[in-house]
Amino acid sequence: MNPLDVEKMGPVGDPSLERLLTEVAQPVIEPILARYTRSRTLAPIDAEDVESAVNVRLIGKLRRMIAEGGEAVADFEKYVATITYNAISDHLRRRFPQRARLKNRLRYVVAHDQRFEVWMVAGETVCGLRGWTGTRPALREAPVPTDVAGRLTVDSREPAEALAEVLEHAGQPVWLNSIVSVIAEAWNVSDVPSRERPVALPSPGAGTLSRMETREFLQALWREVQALRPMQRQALLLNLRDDESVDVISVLVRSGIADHGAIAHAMEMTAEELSAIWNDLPLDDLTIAARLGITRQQVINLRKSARERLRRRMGR
Amino acid sequence: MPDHRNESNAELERSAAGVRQTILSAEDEEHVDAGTLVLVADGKLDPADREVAESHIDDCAMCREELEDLRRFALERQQRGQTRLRRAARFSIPLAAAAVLALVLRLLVREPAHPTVTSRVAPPAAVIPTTSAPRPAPPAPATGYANPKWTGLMAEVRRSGRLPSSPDPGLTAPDDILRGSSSGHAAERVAPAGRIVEETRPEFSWTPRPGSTYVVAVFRDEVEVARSPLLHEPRWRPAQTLRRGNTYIWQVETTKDGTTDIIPSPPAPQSMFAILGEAEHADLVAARRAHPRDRLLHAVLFARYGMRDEARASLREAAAAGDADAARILAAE
Repeated sequence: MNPLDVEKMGPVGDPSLERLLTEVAQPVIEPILARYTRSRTLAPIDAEDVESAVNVRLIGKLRRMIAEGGEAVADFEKYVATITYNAISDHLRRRFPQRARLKNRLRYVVAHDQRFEVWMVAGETVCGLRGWTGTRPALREAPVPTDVAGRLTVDSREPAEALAEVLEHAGQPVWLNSIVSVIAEAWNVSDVPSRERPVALPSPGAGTLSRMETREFLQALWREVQALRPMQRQALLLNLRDDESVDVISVLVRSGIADHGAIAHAMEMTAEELSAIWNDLPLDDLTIAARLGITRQQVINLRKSARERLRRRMGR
Repeated sequence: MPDHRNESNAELERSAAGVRQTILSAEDEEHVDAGTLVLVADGKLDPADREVAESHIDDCAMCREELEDLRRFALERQQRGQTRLRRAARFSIPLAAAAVLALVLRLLVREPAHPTVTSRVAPPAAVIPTTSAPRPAPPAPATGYANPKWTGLMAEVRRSGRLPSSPDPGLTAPDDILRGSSSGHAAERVAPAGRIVEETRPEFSWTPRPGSTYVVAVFRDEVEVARSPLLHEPRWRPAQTLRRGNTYIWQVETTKDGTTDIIPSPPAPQSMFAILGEAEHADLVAARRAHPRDRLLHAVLFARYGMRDEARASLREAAAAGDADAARILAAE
């Protein structure tokens, strides 16, 4: 698919947007969910919840892209698939915490035991013995090792040995989720399905943040900015701006909330160094990346996580 | 420095509203995936990626609980491994002899080794790695560093194959039997403890006690210098900065059902830490700015200033980026 061109889209609710969701997104989402329901990893009712979550996230993304002209999505179908896999993973982690912990432990074992490897196929994690890397699993589900009486033989409480047993029995790579299911069953790892336990993020536009007076808002902002981690703080302050590209540092200084020295200290630089870049603020991501010795994508991730944290902390 | 005295309140209001909107429109949160959690638990994440992950984990109970579980699992696994090693040591000599004998027999018979289980499936043509390849290590400056002290330190480290040592900062307090009897929570984790930290507003964290509230108190020379409000989460970062070069003791007062207890629970030692000194911090900042990708230099300076955990993390990054000296030092650590 070509890159998503938001310039040609109308406001949310526009028929072209509806078509994008039904004609492009749904054909990607539905087969993924169907695979998970067929393997009984997801109950049909849970699949509906996941589908709703994916749609909400997609609409939010499209709305922001239209409003802010955010970065283009290079491959919309791949983006939808990634969001769907992430939503499934988040859903399973919330509803089945014991299973999630078992999966984490298996991931840990794979990272530390030379016998195993993991790789990605179509957005899903595959696990195999060393040397099998890259092969697509032929089986949807892992064959269950059993003895002649049909009892599960994966009885070791050591995840590494259980993983080895399942893989050697299969004789080929297996989807990690499927391995988790086999070992969970063998070890009686079960969760009483709990209802959602959300991260409790305040929804944009609601909560304390939108009700604060200007000065109160800026004071709270400065307090929370200081509590960010060092690189997060720098990635945010060097680029955070209003909708007319006025940088937040000058807003803080003009309002008297923070003086030049305090801001320099927060940015781990001297007052002279801050003065030297003052007229260039906000800096672009490549310049920030060079200053911090990290990649441009890491700068973007740091700033995104900083904004999310501010929204969480100030929205309470 | 620009003069803002003539700017109107209306402009300020408008700018503040713009910034507020920017924050409000932050994208929906994504949880930390299992692979990244493993790297966090191992302390192997790149510093920038670590900040991103930890920022989410701070506020997400689900990811935090999963990380705690993973750390417990890693610790158990390490302990099991040590037990196995101790057991194996008793048989190491006969096993070594058997291995030599097997090698001699193979050489005499000149037969190929049996195929292993891994050969049952042919290796594929396409390989999709789960992590990106590390960036190559930057070359060391040909004519030394701008700071001659760094040049000297690096030359010595590359020659000796060892990180510099630092004086014992004396941050390990003895078990404290005077603070009362054990409350049955002796194995609780607290951080920071027994180490030097770089941040002047470090995050304090401890093993949660379900259903408890917490108050953190930080002391210097037996004088309380910081106190948290009532907390419901097992972490806190003070609003004010602590002084560089000073040593602090801290504790958590936990309350549940009207009963107050202290973490660390006696007779566990008190939690001590120090804030990296002003000059040492300036040196680190200068090194990171001048040589942002020279992880071996960072490791050397961390080690020099007594920050052994950070030194090891930077050393691992340098080795992963292909620095042969770093890999050699890491192997010897």
